[in-house]
Amino acid sequence: MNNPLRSPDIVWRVEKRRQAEVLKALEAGEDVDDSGTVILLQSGMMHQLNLVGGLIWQQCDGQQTLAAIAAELAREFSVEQEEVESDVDEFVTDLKERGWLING
Amino acid sequence: MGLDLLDTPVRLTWDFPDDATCQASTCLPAIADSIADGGVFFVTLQGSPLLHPAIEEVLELLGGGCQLLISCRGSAKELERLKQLPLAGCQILLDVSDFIDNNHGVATDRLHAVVVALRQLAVKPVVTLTPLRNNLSNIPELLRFCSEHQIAKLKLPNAHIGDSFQGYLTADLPRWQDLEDFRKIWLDFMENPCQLPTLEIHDLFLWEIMTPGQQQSRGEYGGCQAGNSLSHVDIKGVVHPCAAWPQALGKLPDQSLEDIWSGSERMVVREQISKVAAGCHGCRDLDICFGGCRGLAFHLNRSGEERDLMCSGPR
Repeated sequence: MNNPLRSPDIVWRVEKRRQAEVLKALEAGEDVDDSGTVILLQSGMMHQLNLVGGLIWQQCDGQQTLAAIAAELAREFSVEQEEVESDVDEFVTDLKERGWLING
Repeated sequence: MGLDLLDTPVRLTWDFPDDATCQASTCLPAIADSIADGGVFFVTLQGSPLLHPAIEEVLELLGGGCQLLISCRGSAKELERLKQLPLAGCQILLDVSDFIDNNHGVATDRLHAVVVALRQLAVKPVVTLTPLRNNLSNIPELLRFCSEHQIAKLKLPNAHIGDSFQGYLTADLPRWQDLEDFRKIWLDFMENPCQLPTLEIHDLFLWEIMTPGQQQSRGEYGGCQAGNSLSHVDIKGVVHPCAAWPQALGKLPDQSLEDIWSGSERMVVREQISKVAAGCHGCRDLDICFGGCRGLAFHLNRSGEERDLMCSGPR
């Protein structure tokens, strides 16, 4: 299987309060690309993912295909699946290169 | 992307002083519960946690979700306690400060006996030493000990001062002049070095001397994390921005970590950190150190315009 799976070497959590604030800002039309909603630690280094990245990350349980993740993201943001497929693919590829995601 | 304000800390130190305050404190399980509820990833029990009667309950409460690092000073009582505790997944930090004497160096025979005793318990300790004025010169000897004993990691944390300086006197803390002396000692050591363990060095100026040419490895460092990803809790549950920032932000278990982290006191601390220290303006290396240890600098180096105690001045 090539479904993306979060590396077991990474500890992570959703910043719930932060995520609620970011969703509110998004509804108000603000740019939230640089606002983190998920933090993760790998080899002692802390990183954060923005709203879209965080939502994709949460879906990467090894069970979901890229298409299923894109469908969920499209539903969340009320857009067509085709609009987000390349973003999902690019994001997952980047995180696999970093070793944060592995093949499930 | 810099790190935003987090909901709760990610790393937390919890102090267990070896005195009557520690023994008398009965609310430790409730504090442990609050820490676990806060979603903290790493909890370091520092001081003498193994001597506390509630340690087993604390480990049980924290062990489910947090990675635990437990300080041990190598006493016979602690080693005996270690035999009885469920330590799966815990990291033991062997604090070697009691094994170092400025006049006689590292007590290698005694330390060797402790390392052997820990290994017999299947414990692979991380050696830790808080750098102070009177022990900086012993670091090379300690590194040789680590090399000879296949110790995988040496940790040199910043002094934890809490509310009451926890036994460290301000005069004990190293200043930039001490670091200049250490630089010479380090260069001598590096002429005939040993196999170095992994080094975890909290002070950026000490790190700079001991790991030259590795600035890229701190490329993602975004500055002081006190009151954001870092926190410190004292034995009574009082929460501080970090172990080197003597200011109370709230109290566990009366308040949750999440409530404390959304409180105004915490925001004031982050506001202070976001301002460039007066003594750092114009420094070419500011985007590497970001002012260093802001807690110690803010509280102890006002005459140096709040520069890191180990920084000699803007470059």
